[in-house]
Formats: sequence, C-alpha cells, structure tokens
Amino acid sequence: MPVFKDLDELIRNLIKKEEEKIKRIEKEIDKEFERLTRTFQSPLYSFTETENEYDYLIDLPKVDLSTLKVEARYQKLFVACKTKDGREYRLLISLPEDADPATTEVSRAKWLLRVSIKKRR
Amino acid sequence: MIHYEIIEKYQPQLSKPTYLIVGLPDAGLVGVIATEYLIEKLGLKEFAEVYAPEILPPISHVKDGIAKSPIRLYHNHNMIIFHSWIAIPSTSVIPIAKIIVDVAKRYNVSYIISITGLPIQDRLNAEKLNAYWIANSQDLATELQRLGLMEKFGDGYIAGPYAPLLTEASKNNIYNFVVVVESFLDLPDPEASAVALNILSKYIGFSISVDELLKEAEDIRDRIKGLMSQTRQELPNYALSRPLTYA
Repeated sequence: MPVFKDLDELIRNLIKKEEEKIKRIEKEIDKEFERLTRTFQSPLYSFTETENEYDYLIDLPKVDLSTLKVEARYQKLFVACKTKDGREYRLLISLPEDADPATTEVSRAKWLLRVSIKKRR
Repeated sequence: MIHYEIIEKYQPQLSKPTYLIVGLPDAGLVGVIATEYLIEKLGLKEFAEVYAPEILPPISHVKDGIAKSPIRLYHNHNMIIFHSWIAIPSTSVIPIAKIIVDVAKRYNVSYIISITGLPIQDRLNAEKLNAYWIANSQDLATELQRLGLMEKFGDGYIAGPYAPLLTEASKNNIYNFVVVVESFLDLPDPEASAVALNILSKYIGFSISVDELLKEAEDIRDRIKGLMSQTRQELPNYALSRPLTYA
C-alpha cells in the first residue's frame, strides 16, 4: 500500500482505481455483447424520448415471440430472438446515462416491440 | 447536363390521361411499398430501365438471377411507375427529378404523382392516418381541393427527392402533386402505404384491395429492411437532420 501525505490524495487514488476497474468491466461486457451479436441479423429500430422515459420501437418481422429475450443492464439494452423461419435477430443498444435499466418494460405495439425505460430522477 | 439512358424493351401504348407514379425511398418507405404493391397486384409490365452511372452508386438489382438497373419503369394502359430499388443519394435528388420529368415528357404524361410519408411524433398511437396533398400549380390545387380525397398540406416544407421534382415538373408545365401520409420516419410503414393506395385508386380510377397489403406487411417489412437501413443513412442529408415533410 503506497503512502499518502493526506487523506484527500488517498481517496482520489482509490476512486481512480475503482473507475479504472469499472472501465475494464465495461470493456469486457462490450466485447461479450459484440461477440453475441456479430453473426446475426440486426433489426431496424427507432428511438423516441419523452420527459420521463426512453422508448425503443423495434421491428422484428416474423418473430417467434416464444424465443424473445430482452435484457437491460450496465446501460445496455440487448434484444435477441428467432424468427419463424429459423433466422436470428440480435440487437445491442447503449442506453443514455440517465436511463434506469431496472424500470425496463416490454410490450407489443401494433407490429412492433416496444421497450420503455424510465429516466432516473 | 446529366448523362443517362433510358433502356427501353419496347414503347408502351398508353391512353390519356397518363399518370406517372413515383416511388422513391424516403420516410417510412411509404412510396416504394405502395409502388411495389401496385406493380405486383395490378400486374404492371417492366418496359424500361434507367442507366445513370454518374449519379447512382454502382449497384445493380438482381431479380431472378438477372442484374438490372435499380431504377426501372413499369406500365399498364394509363399508368407508368417510376420505381427505385435503392435509396437515392442526397447528391442525386436534383438529377433524378430532371430524369423523372424527362420520362414524363417522353411518354406524354399528364400527371406526375409522388407518394411520401409525414413523420409524426405519436405514430404508434395514431388510429387514423391523415393524408395531405402538395401541388405544383394553382389549377391542380383547385382540382385536388374540389375532389376532397386529402386535406391541403397548408404551410410547411418538403425536402428530399420529391421537392425538386415539384419545381422541375412545374418548369416543364407538367402537373405534379405529392400524396403525403402520416407515417413513421425510419421504420417501414405499410399502413401508411395502404392509405396512399386508397387515395390513388380513387383519383386515377382503378380497383385495388389493400387488405392483402396489410396481410403481407410482415413479409414486406422483412424484405425491405435493408432498403430502410440504406435510406435512413440518406434521410438526414436530405433535410439537414429534419423530417422530410414538416409543417
């Protein structure tokens, strides 16, 4: 453990180390998501923002809804599914900083998949 | 001066008045979905292709193993369809407008009709899609007003491939109006195309069922998602990041 002359310097150093650790984890997550999405078709999507939430409208023609998987964590939205004719869609979207992945709601709207994520207060 | 060729298989026999329907990819692909459906359901015959290597990317559309120009012309007894199977580069919209007007003059077209989408914020919750017209002359505006098939667009702006066409056609004394239907901006919108087709069928006087278009919507969206991806890259260039038609 290095020696610091004052507490402030010690804390700054600890924070820097924690930030570096988080960045490393983020890079690993990005790499993993990239690996998962690399060989699959990417669906079309549209993005809208209201005062309280973010809405992602995703077009998944011929989707087999029983295979649909939607995950939001680490400020990433990941959507995967199979189509009725055996193809696979995968989508990875970086979420805005103030999006709260814990509030993710998934619904069907017309022919689209709607993923709504609330903004942090 | 644009160097291009219209490679004709044959000269179509057309009755008067002759309509030229233009389907170019833009908001919601409303125009191209409509024209592709017309080609298929009315059994329009392909009779020519536009070869314009100076203004179009080096892409051929391969159909049944045969490479063709991505911009082709189809016809029946009183209608020509100008259909593009690729997004028009923003740098080419003015030359394309000139080519469309040349086509109209070559085949003695009476009316050029363009079809496009009007992106609206709450498209997802819209139960009824409104349709508007934008005309290139007062005479035509009076006629469209009298028919009452759509509302007048009123004041606003139109950008993208259909904007210069209105002026080019006017310069050449050819009537041109745009059927503008509320739609998504960057997702294919067959529902908006169905609204446009209903209007077109009443205006020109042909019969078409759009029920099948809505039934086949899933196949259409699947087939044209690549074109939508390509088009959404061009959309911001058409109007400096603004929607294509906005009031």
